[in-house]
Amino acid sequence: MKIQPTTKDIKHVSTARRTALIASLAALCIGTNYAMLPLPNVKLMDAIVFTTGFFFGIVPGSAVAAIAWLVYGTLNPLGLSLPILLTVIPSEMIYAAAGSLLRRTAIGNLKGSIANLERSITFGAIGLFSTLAYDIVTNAVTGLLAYNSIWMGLLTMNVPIPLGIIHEASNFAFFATTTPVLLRLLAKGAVPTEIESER
Amino acid sequence: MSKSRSIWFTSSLVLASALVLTSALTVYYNAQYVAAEKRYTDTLSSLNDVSYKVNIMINYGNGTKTWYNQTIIPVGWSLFNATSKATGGGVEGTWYSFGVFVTSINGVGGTESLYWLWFTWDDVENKWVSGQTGADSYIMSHDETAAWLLTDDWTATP
Repeated sequence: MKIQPTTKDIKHVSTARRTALIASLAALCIGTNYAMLPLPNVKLMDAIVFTTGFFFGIVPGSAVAAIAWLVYGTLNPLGLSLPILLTVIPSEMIYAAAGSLLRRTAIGNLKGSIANLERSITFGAIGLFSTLAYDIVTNAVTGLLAYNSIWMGLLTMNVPIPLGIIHEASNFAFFATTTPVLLRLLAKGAVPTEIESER
Repeated sequence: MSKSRSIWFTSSLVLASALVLTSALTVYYNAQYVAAEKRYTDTLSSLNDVSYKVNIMINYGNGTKTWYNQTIIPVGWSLFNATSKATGGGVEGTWYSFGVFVTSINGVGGTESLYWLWFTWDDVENKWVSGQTGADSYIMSHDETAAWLLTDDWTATP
């Protein structure tokens, strides 16, 4: 009996099970965001959104990004800013898009050991580049809103505190280590309908 | 993907990631450097408001002269304090009612016939002017030049 589906089998997972898994991933994003609040710009959320995009596709990945930010961005101890929130939600979807695109490549094949160095490095690097894109977009918009200057916003990405570097380096580590584990867990949880009915 | 191509691909990803991070670090450290330079300039500017720069010369009477140029001292310091700072505390003296009588500078002490005398440079007359008080009573001004001379000749100049 096949109990670990490949990405090709995901379409056959029941809607209820898919919804439950996606909701769980959104909850995981929100929970880890609050837990990691003392660590500025270090968040597991980006890796979780990427993983969702990789496993389920861009729409569920974007949904997780939107749900997580709507909750975390609204009920945030650091305060609520609607323009920033409206910027980070679509920016967070970059991770879902990156995951969805990567799924279509050779790396999308989930077969093999979880400890695959090449795959981990690829995930880490994609995480870093996606984070760079996310940081550029969000800092440019923040700069425009706060200083009326995109360049000023881009400068504050790493000045005076290297928050951009912290974000990119931590995401490299999270994408390289957490994503393979999450994908393995999802593969176990996302049982196709026909197998589910056999149980 | 073949194994050799895969190694190149992975290595390229690692190098590209390192490039992004080091570029960001370069921007960060450059900004830190610019900020530190500005703080240094501002501090120096503030320091100039509460300090003087003076020049002090020590003439040991044997042909050896030591200059302590652009010595920064707080406003209101005496020649004795300024010399002590310039020489790193290398001034010793005996205190009398008229003020301090310097007995040794940089370990070179006076004798019964050799004395440490002090002078200031007169910019108008272009000559050394002998000190008339104890060195601890003479308050130095900005950009002033003073000298110490070890001599047995009370009419000698540095």
